[in-house]
Amino acid sequence: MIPLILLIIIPSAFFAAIAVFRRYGRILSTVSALAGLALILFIFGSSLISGSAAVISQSYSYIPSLGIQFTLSVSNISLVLLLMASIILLATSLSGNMGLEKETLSSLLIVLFQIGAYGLFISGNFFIFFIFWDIGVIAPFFMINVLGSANRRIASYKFILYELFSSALLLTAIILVYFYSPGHTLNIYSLAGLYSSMPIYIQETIFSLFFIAFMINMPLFPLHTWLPDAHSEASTQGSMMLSGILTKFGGFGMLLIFITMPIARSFSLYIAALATISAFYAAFLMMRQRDIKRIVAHTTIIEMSIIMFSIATMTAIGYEGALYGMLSHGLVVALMFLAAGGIEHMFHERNIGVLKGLSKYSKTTSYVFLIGIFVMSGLPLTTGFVSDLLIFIGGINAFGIYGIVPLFSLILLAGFMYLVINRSFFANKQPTKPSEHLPQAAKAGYAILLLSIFIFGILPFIVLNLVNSSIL
Amino acid sequence: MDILYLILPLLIGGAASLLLGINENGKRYSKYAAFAGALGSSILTLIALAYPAMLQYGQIAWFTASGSISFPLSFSFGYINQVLLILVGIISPLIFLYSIGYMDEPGEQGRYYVELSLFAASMILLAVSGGFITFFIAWEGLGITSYLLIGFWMQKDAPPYAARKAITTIVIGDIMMLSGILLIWASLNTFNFAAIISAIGAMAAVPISIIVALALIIFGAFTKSAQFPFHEWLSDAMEGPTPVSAFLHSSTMVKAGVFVVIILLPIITHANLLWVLLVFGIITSIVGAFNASGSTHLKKILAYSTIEDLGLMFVALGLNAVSAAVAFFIVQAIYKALLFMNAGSIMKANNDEVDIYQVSSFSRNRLLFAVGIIGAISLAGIFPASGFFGKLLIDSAASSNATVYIILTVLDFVTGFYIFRWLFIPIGHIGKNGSAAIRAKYSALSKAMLVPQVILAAIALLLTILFLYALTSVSIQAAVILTAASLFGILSAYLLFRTSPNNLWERSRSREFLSKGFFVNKAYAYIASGIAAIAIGIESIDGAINRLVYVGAEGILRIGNSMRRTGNGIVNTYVAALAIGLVLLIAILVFVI
Repeated sequence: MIPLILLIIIPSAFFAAIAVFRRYGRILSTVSALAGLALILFIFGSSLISGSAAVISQSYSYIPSLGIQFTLSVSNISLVLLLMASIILLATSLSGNMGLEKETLSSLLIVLFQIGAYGLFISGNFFIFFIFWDIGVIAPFFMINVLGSANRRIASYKFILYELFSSALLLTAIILVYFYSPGHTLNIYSLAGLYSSMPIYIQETIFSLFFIAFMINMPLFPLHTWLPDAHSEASTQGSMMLSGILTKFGGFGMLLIFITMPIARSFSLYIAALATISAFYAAFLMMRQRDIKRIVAHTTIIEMSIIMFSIATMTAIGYEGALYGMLSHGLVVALMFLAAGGIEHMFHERNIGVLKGLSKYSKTTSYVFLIGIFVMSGLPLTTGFVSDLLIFIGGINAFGIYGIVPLFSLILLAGFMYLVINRSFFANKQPTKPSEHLPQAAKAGYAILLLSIFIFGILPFIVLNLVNSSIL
Repeated sequence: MDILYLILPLLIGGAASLLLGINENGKRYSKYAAFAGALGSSILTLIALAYPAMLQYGQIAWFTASGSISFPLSFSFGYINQVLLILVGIISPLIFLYSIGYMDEPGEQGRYYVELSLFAASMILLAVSGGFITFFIAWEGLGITSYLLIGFWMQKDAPPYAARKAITTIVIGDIMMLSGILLIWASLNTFNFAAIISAIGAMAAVPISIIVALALIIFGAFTKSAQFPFHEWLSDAMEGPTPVSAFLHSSTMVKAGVFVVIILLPIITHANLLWVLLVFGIITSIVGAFNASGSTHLKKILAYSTIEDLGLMFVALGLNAVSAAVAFFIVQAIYKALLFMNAGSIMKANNDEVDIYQVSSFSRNRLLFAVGIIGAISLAGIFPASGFFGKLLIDSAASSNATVYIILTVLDFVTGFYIFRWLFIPIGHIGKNGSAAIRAKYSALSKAMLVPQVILAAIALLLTILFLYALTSVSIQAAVILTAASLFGILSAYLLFRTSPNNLWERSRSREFLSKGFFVNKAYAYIASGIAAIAIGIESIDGAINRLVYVGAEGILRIGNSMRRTGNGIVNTYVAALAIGLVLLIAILVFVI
């Protein structure tokens, strides 16, 4: 097994390199993403071949006086999320910054976010988890605050305040875990058997604190209001990372606490109900949006709510569905934000009331957007179908006939998305004329994401064979 | 030969025509590549039907989740699969051939043929599906390709709107179908049709979750097969290119829903849900037949007639008369493809005019007129044409139920009436462009458009021989009543539209009412505005949540500001605060502790 810390060291080295060789920012960040992807594919492949179900951990001495170690672990969940994150990061750094403004800064931030995301997904204890959580929040903050569009200031402060609130709760929960766990351990995976020895009210408090912290990040109704602003005001690269990867931080945390904390069972029914409400709420809210990036941002809330619902089923297949849903959603939402960014770049306009007949002059982007809708509405042979199957089988197993209800929010989602694409993309009577061309690099980004969507959609067993042995 | 090879030529042909379509020099070969692909698939299908022994099918493992839950792709080659395969195998190359003549604008042909090839491939996949996973893949494939094909002419006004209506209905159906599939899986742990049928058949009482699941599947089937209240997308789907309409209405897409209901009919019967099929079938066929009498749109009359036909199929299934439904399934595919191709030829000669009062007659081209008549008498159910047997079998199945039988007989009359109205009105018009220009256009019609019609007309007549050979006993009484009702309809059409100069029907209130489609579209609009109203409500709730956050933030800011003011640097304030604090502390120490 290769040292997992390489996953943090390599992007850090590239971070330093970009700071020095400013002119090559884009190339260096792409290489960094490629190096990360190669490493992860190597770990993924070797786990797949060895078929080991165990969590692989590597520890370094860190704060011996408190008994805190620098522990890095990969479980099967984190492998899948790492794979997703590196594909998105590759597509992001290859294609995102279409205006080529402040390229060095955006490359730096992408690599910083890469450090945060990799570190979070391989963190073995909650201490490390918290550190990388905050690194992962800082990079998108600047993506919004410096590189964003018109209302970027307000959106970025809203984003950072929500996320700080979330990390405050997270820290409180972690401190509680530290004091109440036997032997003061913070190890995420070995805590699994230890929660039950804590008093019930402490377990409930810890669970609630974790839950609200992750819920803000995911996000779920009613703590979702930062998301549409943040995602629509960020730069294209920022939106891809925010929606594609940052929301999965919360999903990852949710999966961890639901799998490891037995107390979750007493909350799961209410959480499933909340997730269902959240999905429909966001679907209706989406219908009032006219800004194409805001529309895509709202689909994130819907899909993440469905993923939350899947986690709340607390069945093995539900967890797999949630994991596959995160893989699927990360790839497709990055694709849609990239397409939306392409449209903004070409037409200097995001209002779907003004944009007309885009497919006349931007065929590629229009069809990419259409495929994105197909995936979101669960077209077979794409990742969306596999995740829908798994999620709702889990739903029915857990809640009987009511377990199918959240699926119907996809009617609203798909119905509205088709309305948008029909009015603004595929009705060519008076097409809007573009003022710029789509950069070739953006097409490379489309290709990477589309290819991944179809590979994992047609060959889902690549991922599922790994997860089947054990979800952790 | 693996069963999946049946769609391989279509996929190759589609890909080739897409690639050729991009290339400036290859453009004109695009259509031939697609036609070759369709022909290849069709030949393979016919070989497979002739030598079923050499076909390999069964179950392919796709993926496994959660350790033990497997999602296999199953295939089957039973009689209903074969029926559908024959129809697609015959009609699909004819549609591609017709397209060569019809889609004569060079641009965008690559896009058209790749979509059409994928559409045909989805239909073949659906026809050989033996389990819900395979079926659903094909089902969704049909949905999205039909959406793309209906909205093919993006530069016009109506097609994008029609495509949106279609896809919205299709999405509703997809979600219902998927829910039903998953609910059935949750009860039986299988996706395989045969296993599901035998498992439910063995149950003494069908549990409520399976009844809900079957209801969801039936309504999902209704959306694709255009049953009331999901039927309006089909009449709008006329905005697509005519070959697509001919394909959509005959052997593909709309037959997908009928197909799944035929497969699941044993368990639908067992779950006592036949009445759903019967009731919705009757409503749909009435709505379809009367709308067809009211419309003046050359293709919409045929579209509403398809809706009626599909309703009749569901009536037959609701009466548990599978053989009648299947017989009608076959004959309807043939005559409807023929009639749409005929309408497309008229449109082509009349510069895409679609109003039956504006287009000029067929009699300028005798061949077109002759095949049109064969199609029309087949639709009306007059003897030498095979449509007669389809209708006769359904009527005979209904003869034990007086209400249904009377309704069907009235519909026979209406069918004869509207299809001959469709045939008679354009005769004798000079048309917009004057007779000479139209005559020239008629004679310039491509052979590629005429040949498929002649072949289909021949099949429509030849099927009669097959029926005469296969049917052992028919009810003479039902045959006489059917023929009389249809002939009476034709006679009324003749009297109204051929002899009387000022025809009463067209200006009557009732026709105006019928042309409005029973206000189904209005109901759709009300539902849409209801959803929009909910969205507005939700938006205001969201605004309130947002304000709450801002108010909270502002409150914290105020507290911070007022706290800050206490640190004002004046010693007196500090001393006063110190004194108050001391007093409070002593008070707490004394009184509380």
